[in-house]
Order: sequence, then C-alpha cells, then structure tokens
Amino acid sequence: MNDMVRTDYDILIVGGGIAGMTAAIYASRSSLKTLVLEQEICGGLANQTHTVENFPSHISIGGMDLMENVKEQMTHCGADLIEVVEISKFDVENQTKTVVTDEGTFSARTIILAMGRKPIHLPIEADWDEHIHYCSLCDGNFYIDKDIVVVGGGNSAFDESLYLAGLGVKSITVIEALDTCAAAGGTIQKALATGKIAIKTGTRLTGIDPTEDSAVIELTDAASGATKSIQAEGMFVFIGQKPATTEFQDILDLDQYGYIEVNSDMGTNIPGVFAAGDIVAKRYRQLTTAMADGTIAALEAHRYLCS
Amino acid sequence: MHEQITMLNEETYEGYVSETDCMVIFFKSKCPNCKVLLKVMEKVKARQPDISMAAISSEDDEAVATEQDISRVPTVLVYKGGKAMARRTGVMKPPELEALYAGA
Repeated sequence: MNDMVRTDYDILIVGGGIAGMTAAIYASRSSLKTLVLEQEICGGLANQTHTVENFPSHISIGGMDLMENVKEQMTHCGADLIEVVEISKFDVENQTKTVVTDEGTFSARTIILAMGRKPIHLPIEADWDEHIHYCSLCDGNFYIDKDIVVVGGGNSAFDESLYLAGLGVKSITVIEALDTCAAAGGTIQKALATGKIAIKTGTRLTGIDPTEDSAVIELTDAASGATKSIQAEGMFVFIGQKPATTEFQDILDLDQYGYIEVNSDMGTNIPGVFAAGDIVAKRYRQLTTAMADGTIAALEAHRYLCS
Repeated sequence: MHEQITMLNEETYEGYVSETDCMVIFFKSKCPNCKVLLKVMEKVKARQPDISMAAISSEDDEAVATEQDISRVPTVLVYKGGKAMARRTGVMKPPELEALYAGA
C-alpha cells in the first residue's frame, strides 16, 4: 500500500470510460485540477466493441481506437490519470471526498462516479473455462472454422456474432431464454443473412459437458422443459452487465437494479457527489448519452466548487 | 510498445525462456484484456524490477502460440529454470500476477 496522500485535486473522477473521460476533459478545461482513477485501462466497454458506427464524426471506427483518441485528448487537456489502480475504500459522505488506493490516498471536494458496468458471467459451473469467453475481439480468431454458441439475444450478442461470423467462424447458435431477441431487427436480419447464424429463442442453457475437443451443450425449452444437446467448440457470453455500485449501496440512492439515481444535473443524494454514464439509472446507455452525462457532471461539479 | 517488457518472436522465444526466469504474456493487438494485463505487468515491473517480463504476439507468432497450446489471450506463462512452471489466462490484478510468479 502506498502511503502518499494528495489533497490538491479539485475533482476526482472514478472510471475512465467515455463518461469519465469526457468529464475529465470538461473539468480540466474549466481549470479544475483533475484526477482520473481507472481500475483497468481507459475506454470501458467501448474497448470491447469491434466497430462503432453511431458516433458522430466517424462513419466507422474501432472502439479501442476511438477510446485511445479520447484518452489522448483528456491527458492533453491536463487531467492526471492512473490506470490499473486498486481502490480499497471510498469515503464520500463528508465535505471532502476521499479514495484510498494502492497508489495513495486522494481527496477532493467533488467526485464523479463513472465506473460503468461489468459483464454478467454465465451462471453455470463447468470445467470448460478455457472455452467460455466474454470478449470476441480477444478470443474470436481461435474459432475460425469451428462451431460455437453465443449466449444472449441483445444487441451485444448479435453485434459480436456478426463480428465472429466475419472472422470465419463456421457456425453460431444464438441462445436466448426469452421468446424474442431484444436486439435491433435490422441487426438480427443481417445476422440471419450470413447463413452462419441460427437463433434459438425460448431456450435456456442448462448444461455444459466437456469432451476431448469440444463440449456437449444442453439446451432446455423454456416452455415445455424438453432438453436437447448440441456440440460446440467454444462459447461467447453476452447476457448483460451489472453496475459497479456495491460499495455505495448503503450511502447512495440506487434503483432496484443497483444503478445510481441522479437528478437532471447528474447530482446524487450527497452534495458534491455526481455520477455519469452507464452506472446511472436511465433508459438509454450509449456512448453519446454517457458523454452528455460526463459533460453535465463536470460542469455541475465546477458550479458546486464555485458556490 | 511497453518499455519494460521484452518483445519476443518465433526466433527469440525459446532462447529467452530457457535462459531467463520470466513471465511471458501471449497477446493480440486489438484485445482489450491484453492491454489491461500488459499495464498490470508494467505496474508489477515497477514494484519488482528484478522480475523479467516478456510478451509475444499470438497473431504474428502463431506457431509459438500453437506450440504452447494457447487457445485464449491474454495468457501468462511463468518460466523458471527454463521450464513453464505456471500458466493463467485472463485479466489479473497486480497482487494476483505477483502471486502467480512467486508461487511458480
């Protein structure tokens, strides 16, 4: 543990996804001494997106490339950044907000929480970890010419299935427990048009039995309870994300799913504590909405400091 | 790339790991988890400069990845006395990486 104590920051921003980085750009440009603490690397979930095509100013850009650009802009504006930081304690209820980390203890009068969400892992135990994946960019090319299963029927599942099909995966069976897939209709059509992607709705994944080179995947019909098996050499899981708010459940107002409740100015129930991005309770979670959150949170933090 | 991490390739891999106690990460260029783990390795290197850190691309040097049975990245192998003594796949925190090396 590092004993260094820094109290010279005006604002601490926890999380270096698009919301946190946008907040840092605005805070730095408002002459606030700004520190961004990121527990992994900057970029958040966008780093795991192969292609971003809904970000104004880019017809198409890699998620990681886009996030690198934003990070460069943020540090250019003067924000300090610590990545792969381990946070052991938050103390945000007093006037001075403190974050204790392995790199030291940092205090400031305002804090923006922008830690986003983490993927939900498969709720099934199986001795097949090497073949269960959560990042198609990382592991997709190990399955060229192979048969795989994708678990989940949302936009991520279909976007990633399209990426995997494009890589050269032989066949993809998409498994969705609900009767319909939540992904955009156009994306589903695109997926079906590849001829490589089959969709099984109303179907639950109930077992994984590893064999020598693959696994027998047990599927159960949600309505009838009937089971059947398919063979797969790998599995990619996209069954949603959960907010990283465990440390705040007793002090911040959270909704029933754990997302932080904020007012229209991104303020939480504690003065000086703001939240931005996917961690906030809201309907739409897009790069652009996270940027808007970050912008408002930083400007309001500035106003709070000046009041 | 990462200044404190020695880049290996098909020609240099065997020689390096047979002569150097080290940690080697198999990575891909567009893999976010690999970027995280490379950053973690840098941090561990800053804390423990005596640990040799190396990296090899599983895309550019596929033959080595195949030989080492790498089916997923990032994967870290720990070599001691010229032998692979430990292996772990996925993102780790700095203390976990340190423990992997110490326990090998």
